[in-house]
Amino acid sequence: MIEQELHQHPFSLLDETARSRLRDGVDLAYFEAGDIILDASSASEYVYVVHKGSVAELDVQAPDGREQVGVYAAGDVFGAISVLNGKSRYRFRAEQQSLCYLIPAALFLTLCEDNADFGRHFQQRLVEKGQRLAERREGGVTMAGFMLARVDACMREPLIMATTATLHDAVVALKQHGVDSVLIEHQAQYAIITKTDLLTALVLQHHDASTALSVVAETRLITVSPSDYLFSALTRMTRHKVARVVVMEERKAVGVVELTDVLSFFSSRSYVVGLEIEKADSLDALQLASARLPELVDALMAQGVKMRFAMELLAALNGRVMGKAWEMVMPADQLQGCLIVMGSEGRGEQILKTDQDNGLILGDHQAWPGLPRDAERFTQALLSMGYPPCPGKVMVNNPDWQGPVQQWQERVYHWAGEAAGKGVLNLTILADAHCVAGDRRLLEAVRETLFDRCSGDDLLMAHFARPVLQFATPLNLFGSLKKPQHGIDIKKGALFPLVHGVRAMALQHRIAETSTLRRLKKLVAAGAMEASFAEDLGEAMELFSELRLNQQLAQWHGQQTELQDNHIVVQSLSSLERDLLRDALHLVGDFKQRLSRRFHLEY
Amino acid sequence: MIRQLRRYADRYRHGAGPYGHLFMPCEGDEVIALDCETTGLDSREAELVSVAAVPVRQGRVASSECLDVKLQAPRSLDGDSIRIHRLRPVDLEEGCQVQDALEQLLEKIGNRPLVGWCIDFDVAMINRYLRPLMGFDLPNPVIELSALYQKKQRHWQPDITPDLRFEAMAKALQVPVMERHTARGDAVTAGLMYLQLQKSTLDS
Repeated sequence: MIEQELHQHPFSLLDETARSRLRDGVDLAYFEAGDIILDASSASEYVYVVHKGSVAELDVQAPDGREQVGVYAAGDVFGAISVLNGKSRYRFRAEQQSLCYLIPAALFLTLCEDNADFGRHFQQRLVEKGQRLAERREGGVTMAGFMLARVDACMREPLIMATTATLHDAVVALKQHGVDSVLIEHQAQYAIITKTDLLTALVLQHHDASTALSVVAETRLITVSPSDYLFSALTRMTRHKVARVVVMEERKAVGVVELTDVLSFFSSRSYVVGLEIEKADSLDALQLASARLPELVDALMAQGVKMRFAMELLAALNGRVMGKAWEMVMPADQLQGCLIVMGSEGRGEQILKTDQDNGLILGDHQAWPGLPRDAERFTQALLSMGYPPCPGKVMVNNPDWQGPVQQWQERVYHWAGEAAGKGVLNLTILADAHCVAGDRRLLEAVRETLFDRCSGDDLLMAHFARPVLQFATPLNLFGSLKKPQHGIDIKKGALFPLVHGVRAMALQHRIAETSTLRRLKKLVAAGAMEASFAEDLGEAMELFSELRLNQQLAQWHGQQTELQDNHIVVQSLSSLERDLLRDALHLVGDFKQRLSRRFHLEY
Repeated sequence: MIRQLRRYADRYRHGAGPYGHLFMPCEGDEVIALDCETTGLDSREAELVSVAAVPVRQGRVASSECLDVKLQAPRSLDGDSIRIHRLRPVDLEEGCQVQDALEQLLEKIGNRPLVGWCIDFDVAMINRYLRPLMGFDLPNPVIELSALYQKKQRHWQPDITPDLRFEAMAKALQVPVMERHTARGDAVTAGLMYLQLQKSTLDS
C-alpha cells in the first residue's frame, strides 16, 4: 500500500524486513483543508507521510503573516522530529484535503533503533544533508553527458606520410607537429609508427635513419569509428595495452585518439580554458576562449565539484578575461588605473555571464585626455565578448563610475548624504567592488573612506540594510502553487536577503573581503556571528546558487523553459532537494529576523 | 423479508450462545470495510480465497489493524480467477482452515456495520461458509458503497448519472486505488471511499 513511498528516500534506507513491518503497521487518514493534524507543543502519536495533498507547517509564536515555516507535499515525511523530541515545535495544518499514512510512534522509534542510517536521517543538520545531495549527484544525470561523449569530440588530425618516407623524416615530422605518432598508407592499408617504435628501431634493432618507414611500421591497427563512445575507445586501449587508437571511417583514417587526450577529456577541462585565455593575443581569441566558460561550468558541476570552488575558479577566470581585455584595449601608459568589477562579479559569485558592472578608479595625478573614447571601446569589447550591458549604466563608459580617488571619496560622502534615495543603492554596489586589473591600492583607499563614513553611522546602516526585508521569503508558496510556470524567485526571495545581509554586516565590521563566503568567515572571526550559523548560511547560499545555476545551464543547453530567470518550480525538485531548500529558506528567515533586530528595521 | 425472518430466528437461537454479542445492536461510529477474493462471481458456486477486514474509525482507516486471512486452496481455484487475484495454489499452502478463518473474522468484525462495494456478494459468500459451520448468517448491518455513493452524488451532482464501477467511484472521490484485486487493498480503498462519502461536500 505504502509501496510507492517505500522506495523513496528516506525509506529506501530501510532493509526488507523493516519495510514489511512498516507496510503492515501503517494507518491511513484523510484530513480536510484546515484540519490541524498536529498541534504545537503536543505529543505526536504518529509520524506522517503525505500521500496526496499538502500540509503546512506553522510557527504559532511567530507574528502574523510570518508564521509559515514550510509545506509538505506528496512523499514528504513530517512529525518525525516531534516523535523523537517528545513534542511538536510547530503546528501542522492541512492546506488541501490530504491523505496521509500514519506510522505509529512506537513502530517508528523501533525502526530508527534497528536501522542506524534511517534514524540518523532524521537528526541530520543542513550541512550533512547537503553533502549527501552532492554524493547523490555524482552518479547523477549530468555525468551521462560525459559517458556519452563520442570519439569525434576528442580525436586529432592524423599525420599521414608518404610510404617512401624514412625514419629521419618521421622524427622531423613528429617534432615539427608536436604529435606522438605518424601513419603511412602501405598497400591499401594503414600502418602506424609511434615514438616507441622509432626508438626501438633506431636503438635496439640498429636500423639506419634512412630506413623506409614501411619496414618498421605496425600494420595491426586498433581502430574505432568516429561515432563510437569515447569510453569504448578507452576500454579498447586498455585491453590491447596501447596508448592510441586510429579512427577509421569507410576504410580511411580520419583521426587518432591518444590516451592522454581521453584522460584529459574525462578530467577537468578547466586548465585548457585557462591556458586559452592566457594564450589569447587578440580580442577575437579572447572571445573564443571566454565563450567556453559555460561549458566548463557544466563539466565541473557534472563532476560534483563543490559549488564554492567552481565559483572561485570561474571568478578567477572571468577576472583574467577582463584583465586581458583591459590590457589589450587601453593605452599602455594608463594601465596603472584601477579597473573594478562590482555586483556579483565583484563578489566572485556569478556563474554564467552576468551584466558588466564595472568602474574605473584613477590615481589622483593621472591625466588621461582620451578617457571617454578608450572607456567606450572597452565597454564595446566586453559587449562583443558576451557580457551584456548593465541596465543601471554602472559601466566604465559612464562618467559617474570613473574618476580619480579623490572624486570617488567625495562621491561616497555625497551618496551617504542622500541615504534615502539612490545613494544607498550606489553604496551597495560599491561595497562589492573588487579590483581585476591595475593598481589595487587605489581601490583600498576608496574602501577605507567608505568604511570610515558608513560603519559608525547607525542610521545610514539601517537604510543600507533595509532592502533585506523588501522581498518575502517564499516559504508560503511551496506546494500550493497552482501553475507550474510560476515557480519561486530564488534570487529575490532567498539569495538577495542572504547576500545583502552579509554585505551589510561586513560593512559594519569593516571587512574588506567581497565574497559572501569569505565575509562570513571574517564575521565569525570578528565575533559577529556564531560559527555554526555562518556555516549553515554558507551552505544555504551554495544551495541557492546551485539551483539557480542548474536552471541557467538548462537554458544554456537550449531547453525551452517558460520560466522567468531565477525562478524555480518547487514541484520539479526531488524530495531531498525540496527538503534542503525548505531548511535553507528557513535559515534565511532566521537571518532576516536577526538583521532586523541588529539594524533596528522593525519600524 | 425472508432474510429478516432468518435473522430473527438466528438471534433467537444464538442470542445466548458464545456468539451472542454479534446480535447486540452496535454502538459507536466504527465500521468495518470488508472484501473477499473468490474463485468466481457466482456466490452459490464460487469459493473463498481470501478475506480482509479493515476497521474505519474517527476519520482513519486503521490498516495496521487489518485482518487479512488466506484460506487453503479450494478445488475450483483455476487459471481464470488466478489471473485476477494472483493467488496461486502455492501461495495458499499456508492458508487457514475455513473454521479458523471465520472465527478470526467474527472476532474482528464483532457487531459493527460492514462496508464494501457490492457488499451483498461478500456477505453471501461468507454466509455460505458460516451457516453450515456455526448455524447462523452474519447479523451485521451492511452499508453498500455504491448505493451510498449514488445517494450522495444525487445531492452533489444531480445532473450526472453516477458511474458505479469501483475504479470510477474511486476516481470521482479522489481516492487512490491501492493494490486492486487483493482483499486487503480493496478493503482499504473501500474504507477510504467510505470516509470520503462522510463529507458534506465533494471538492474537486
